[in-house]
Amino acid sequence: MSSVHDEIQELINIYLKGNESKEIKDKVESHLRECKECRDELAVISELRKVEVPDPGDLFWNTLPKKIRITAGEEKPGRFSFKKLFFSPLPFASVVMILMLLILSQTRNKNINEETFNDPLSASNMDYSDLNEEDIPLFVNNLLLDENYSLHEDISGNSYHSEFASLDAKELESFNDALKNEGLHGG
Amino acid sequence: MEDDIGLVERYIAGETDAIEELVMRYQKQIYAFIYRMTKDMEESKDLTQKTFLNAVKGIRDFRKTASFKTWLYQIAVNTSLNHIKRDKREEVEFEDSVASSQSGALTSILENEKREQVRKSLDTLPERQKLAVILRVYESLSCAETARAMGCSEGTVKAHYHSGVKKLKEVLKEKDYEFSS
Ligand SMILES: [Zn+2]
Repeated sequence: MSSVHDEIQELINIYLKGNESKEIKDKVESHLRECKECRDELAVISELRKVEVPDPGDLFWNTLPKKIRITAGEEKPGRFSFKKLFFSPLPFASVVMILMLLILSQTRNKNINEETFNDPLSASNMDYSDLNEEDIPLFVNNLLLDENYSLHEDISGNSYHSEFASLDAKELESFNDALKNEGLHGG
Repeated sequence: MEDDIGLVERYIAGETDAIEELVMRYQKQIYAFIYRMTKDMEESKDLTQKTFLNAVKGIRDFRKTASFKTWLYQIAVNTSLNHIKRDKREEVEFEDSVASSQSGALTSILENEKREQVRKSLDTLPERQKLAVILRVYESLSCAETARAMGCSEGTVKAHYHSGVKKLKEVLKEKDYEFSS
């Protein structure tokens, strides 16, 4: 079959629907006038189109949609689906809220951690540049103290640092001795 | 009017009334297609219902790249072909006897009988050719849509369609069918 007939025969269904453009109409009709093969094709197809389908009636049409909805609803009782979660607005909003809260709490924790890390009272962050020899015993004691209290760091986040910050050198020394004795004699 | 994809999304989101709207939109087309394949009203009613239920079951597999209509036809094609195959195995002997007893009445030129003749000749086509002719002629699906519904290439659809129509022409000529145009 040559491509001209092929093209016309592809257009016949559009032509028979009756809403074709003027251009298609002219093209099909002028070809049909001179081509028996395509005229026969048109005849067969227009005969086919006359064959009707019996109507099952309004009762069928009016009840089928509801029937499908009910039967389909029975077949999938509340199945969980991620897609469902993301397509419906309410669950979607709550998922977004939870995610935002998680991200917020993460960044807040991060900030707190950074503050603790940069605590100027922590031995590792101390500036030793202006220490002289007389300060060294105190410095060593402070290191020991630092070890002692960091082992007992309160998980609630309260730091011993603030309490020690108000003590002077002598008080710290005696406190350190007391701690040492506790370590030797206590539990 | 809300588009099909909007309704599908609303249904998936839990708004079950959206499926009623979709069924209302396509039930007549799907029923007519199935009737042309099966020639039995009661069977067609059942298969129309089955088609929509299968569609709902697989609605999450629907890809928005294709139109909902074409996807629905694809399900209707599979649902009716499965049924026809099962039916054929059960009723081969019965069909043979009915066909031979009716063949004598088909030579009349009365309009109704002419249509019956066309209808019958459609039944003589191999299944895939018949499908291509029905989808293109009655359902007005384009070549691309028919290919999608039948699960084959556009080239295959064209080949099935043209050999189907050609065979119909021959069958009708053999029976001295008078074309009205
Ligand atoms: Zn031609």
